[in-house]
Amino acid sequence: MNFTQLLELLLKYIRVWDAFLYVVHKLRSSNDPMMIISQCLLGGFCLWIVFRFRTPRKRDLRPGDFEDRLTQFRAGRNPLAPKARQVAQDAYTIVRHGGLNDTDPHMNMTTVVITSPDEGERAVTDFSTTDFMRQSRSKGSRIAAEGTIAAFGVGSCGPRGFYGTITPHMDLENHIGEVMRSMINELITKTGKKMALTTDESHAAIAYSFGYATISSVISAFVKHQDYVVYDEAAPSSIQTGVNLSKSAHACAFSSTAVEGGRKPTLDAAIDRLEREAAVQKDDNSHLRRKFIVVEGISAQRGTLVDLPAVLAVARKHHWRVLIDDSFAIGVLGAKGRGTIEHYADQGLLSDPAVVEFIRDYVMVTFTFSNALGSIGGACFGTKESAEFQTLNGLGYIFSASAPPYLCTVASHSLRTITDESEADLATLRENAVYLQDKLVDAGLAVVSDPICPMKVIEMPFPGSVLPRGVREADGDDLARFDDVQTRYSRVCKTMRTTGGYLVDRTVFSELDPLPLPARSGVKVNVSSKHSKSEIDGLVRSLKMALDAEF
Amino acid sequence: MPSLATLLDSERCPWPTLIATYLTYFLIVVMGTVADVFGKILAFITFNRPNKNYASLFSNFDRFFHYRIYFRGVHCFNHPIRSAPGAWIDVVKRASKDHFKTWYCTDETYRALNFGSYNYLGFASGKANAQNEAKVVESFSNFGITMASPRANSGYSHLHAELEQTMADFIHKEAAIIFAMGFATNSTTIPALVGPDGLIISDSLNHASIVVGGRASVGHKKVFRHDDMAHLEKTVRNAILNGMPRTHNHWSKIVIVVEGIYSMEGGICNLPEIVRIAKQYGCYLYVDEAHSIGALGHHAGGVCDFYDDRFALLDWADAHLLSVPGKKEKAWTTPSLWGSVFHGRQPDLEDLRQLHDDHVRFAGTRKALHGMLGPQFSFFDQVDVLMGTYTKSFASVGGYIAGSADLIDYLRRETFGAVSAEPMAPGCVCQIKSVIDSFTPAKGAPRESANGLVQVDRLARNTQIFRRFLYDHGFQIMGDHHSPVVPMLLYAPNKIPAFFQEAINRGIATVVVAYPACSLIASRVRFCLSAAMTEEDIAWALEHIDELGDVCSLKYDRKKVRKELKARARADAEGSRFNDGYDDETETAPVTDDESD
Repeated sequence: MNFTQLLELLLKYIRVWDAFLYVVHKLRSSNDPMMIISQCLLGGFCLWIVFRFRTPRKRDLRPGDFEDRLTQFRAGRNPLAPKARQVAQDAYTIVRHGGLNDTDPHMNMTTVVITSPDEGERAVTDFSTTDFMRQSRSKGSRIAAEGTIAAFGVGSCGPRGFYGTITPHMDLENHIGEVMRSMINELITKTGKKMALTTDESHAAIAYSFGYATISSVISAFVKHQDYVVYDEAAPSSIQTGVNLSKSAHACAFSSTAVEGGRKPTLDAAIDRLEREAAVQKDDNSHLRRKFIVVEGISAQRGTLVDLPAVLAVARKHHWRVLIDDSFAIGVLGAKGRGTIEHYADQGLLSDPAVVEFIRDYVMVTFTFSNALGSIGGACFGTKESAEFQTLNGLGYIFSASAPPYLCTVASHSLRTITDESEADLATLRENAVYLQDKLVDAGLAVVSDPICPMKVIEMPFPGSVLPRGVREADGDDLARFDDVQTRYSRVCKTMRTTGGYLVDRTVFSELDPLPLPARSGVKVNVSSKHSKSEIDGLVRSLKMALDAEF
Repeated sequence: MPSLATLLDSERCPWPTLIATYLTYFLIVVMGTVADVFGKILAFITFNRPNKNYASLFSNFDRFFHYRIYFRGVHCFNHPIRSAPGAWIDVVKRASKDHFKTWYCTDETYRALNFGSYNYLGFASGKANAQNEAKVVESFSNFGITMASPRANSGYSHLHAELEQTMADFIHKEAAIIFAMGFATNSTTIPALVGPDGLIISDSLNHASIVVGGRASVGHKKVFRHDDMAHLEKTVRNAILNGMPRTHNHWSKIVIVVEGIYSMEGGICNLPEIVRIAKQYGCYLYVDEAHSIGALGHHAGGVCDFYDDRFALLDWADAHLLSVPGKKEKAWTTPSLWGSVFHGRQPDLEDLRQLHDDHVRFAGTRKALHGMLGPQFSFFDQVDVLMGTYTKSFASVGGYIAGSADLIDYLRRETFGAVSAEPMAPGCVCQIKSVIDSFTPAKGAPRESANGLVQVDRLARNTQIFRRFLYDHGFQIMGDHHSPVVPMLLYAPNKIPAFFQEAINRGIATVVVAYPACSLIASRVRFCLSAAMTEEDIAWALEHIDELGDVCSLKYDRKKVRKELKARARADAEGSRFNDGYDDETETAPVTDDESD
């Protein structure tokens, strides 16, 4: 026994002895000694219960056991890759996108050539890509890309800090900043009240190299362990990863379609709950805690539109900042395609000067370029301070290589085309979306998306098609039923490809969802501005047939 | 703050420099505090938040660090450029109107030799990449710019399929999967590999993407000291011995995560020893080759390729040098295997010295590995997961994971990178495919006919010249002799802006690194070499760096190196330096004879 152990032992017994003396003292001074004795016995019993299941401590394992432990470990070792659930996969590859060569009259912007081992090569009508304006196939984009490649090469060969910031990156950031600032300035002038306009000194945008990492980087940069965040339960995995990475102790999911007594609270209730908890904990630095509401303009999983005025009202009431993920709304909503804020401003719902001031100061907008902007990457727009903060704390910004310059040029080009020249196209897109919705509803299919959203999610009411607690936490029977439904949808997609000649998706899930969410299987249809009414009619007809055959 | 151990460990740093460094930081903090006090009084910076109801985005520490420490050297960082990131770049000159709080870009540029970009093989621009660029542009007429749909839906084209197959073949694995972002490759794959009953053992200096992957994972994490193999082994043994916390059940799996080349240290991981530990204790091995793929190895195959070559050479040296005593002189001079390790160069004394060092260093590891894996093995087969990025040597964007077919099939179904993130742009796919193709010469053609391999050799040559020059002139450089990343220690924080500005004025664009990217005292400047640089470029740059070393007094090791060189010359004259480590009874080869041949 060495000196430290001796000391420990001594201290231990001194404490026990103290406790004993204390009890004796209490017994003497008390007028009800039986009460104290019974309490001691109860306490002792509790301790015994606790320590009865004492697990072996570290020092109980002797190095001599090592060889045994190693053999056992090696024998019981799992394979590196867990066995994936064998859910049917849509095994086809894309051979060619249509509309790129003028030589082939049958191939237009809405066609795509696919191939698969059992179906062969065929041209189908594309209702799958989320490139709603077909910007990635436009001639202008390609010319812009070629020009940039000639000047700056393909890759950027470094992170933004290490000579990876090339002119196109700066131009793109300036351009996005300009577009978003002009939107907010229009809002401000519309209110008629005198308040400071946004300038390049006050607001800025920052570009990321990958859309998926944008929102998760932004959330994990701003939300630290002690900070507060609420997010939609139907948020895509990028948002959930961000919340997960932030390790926030005060994160709460809310449900935008919550019913009374439902599992998830509404936004207001979720914030109330977090603030109540905070009040109980008596945090001295509560005024230093950053608070964020994360919403999606158009939900990537459901295709529903957020009720932004309501969200802003709640945020203003509780003094929370708002982070809008406009990935599916940019280039889709608003007269000039500038996203959710513009959409609601066009309807005159954001005319209150106080709301506009709130939007100017406390709302950040992120979006990816991978949908309507027809490129790869993402951006976050907010106050200059927030942009500066991200250049120091945004993980995806600092540690990742910057985007290839040509993708930045394309994003910039698409944004310019959409905001400046495409008012008619945007109108067509929304018209198509509403038309498709009407047709689907007429056909009796259960569409969960909003009419204005070009992405439609169709979920047939069928037993087992919803897992309320996500894929990871579901039990075997539910999962088997769920897989069966997914297989049916997979067959639907296949029928659509082979007999109908339409390319549609089904919703795909991963077992690794960081937080449980209701998993709902369904079919996704993405309509673009280039689709004609007859194509939409045909799609709905054959989708109806295919779905009816399975469900 | 570095621990006491680090302090005492830093024997390379001269004591006066160490004290001066700490003193400088102390002064900076004191001055910052004083400035803050005055700032509060004079309200130069608004400490009061504009609205009390909303917490400021910057915390107090962030604000202090940002405005009082980082801002002192802010002009060294984040320089935009106005050209392709090739060998020579146009760095934008910035100016400030408000005492360096904000910067704006002027129209002027510095024309500078690029030691900052990770353009190892020179494919970022110019003639080397012309052929690849043509293929990229060609892809636009079939696919447009992007796939605009996740891989699990309609984002998977035949180009992606071809690249995955090519990549798997290139690094001798069964299958591979590609992602559109290198950072996301790590941060989405690691959580997929390790469940709640798994353990990740990670090097302490691993890249942020691995750290993020660990944080996103539900598994347990342990860290071992950078490049400390004894500590790794101890960590693994303890993990197996103690099992999971509280329950002491066995781990379902242990994954060791290391990098090939550490970008801030320039070191190459000690892969043989790590493989030995992984094999001996039944752990899985995950190697992040972000910097090493393309930049290391005779066939550009990364760190596995590199060590395969070195081990082949050591085996060969063993066979010829030790067991056939009569043929020793001939053996050392026969260049049958020199080519694959010394990149076609005739080896000189320095190479042989390193070979000898390797022989001593890997003696135990080699014996153990041969015992476990047989006389013939390849490191490619011993690493379970090979990860890498396409941003660096391939001058594109994205990353890959290569491994067994089961693993890749699992990742295809489950990782977010495949299920919900956008796939790689077809243009980038073409660039990578084209670069990989350029690593294989046509059948029967010589090595020189493959464009990529020529670049590999050039990079190796540049690395040799550059590292040797710096070492011989007394600079303190870090990392392995073969690593194209050359960090040079500056120590004192005041030397960071000094070196950077002086270098860029002379036309040398470098990256300076300070806390928090490295430890507080070990501020450094990093040179990333490139195959695009010609020998004249390198000689010109070295001349200037030599001069800069005198200006900024950076030659901390001058005296030591001078002594060492003298001792070396003496030893060479005696021809006795290669005795130790070899069999004492046989007479060792008079290696000095090489030069007379």
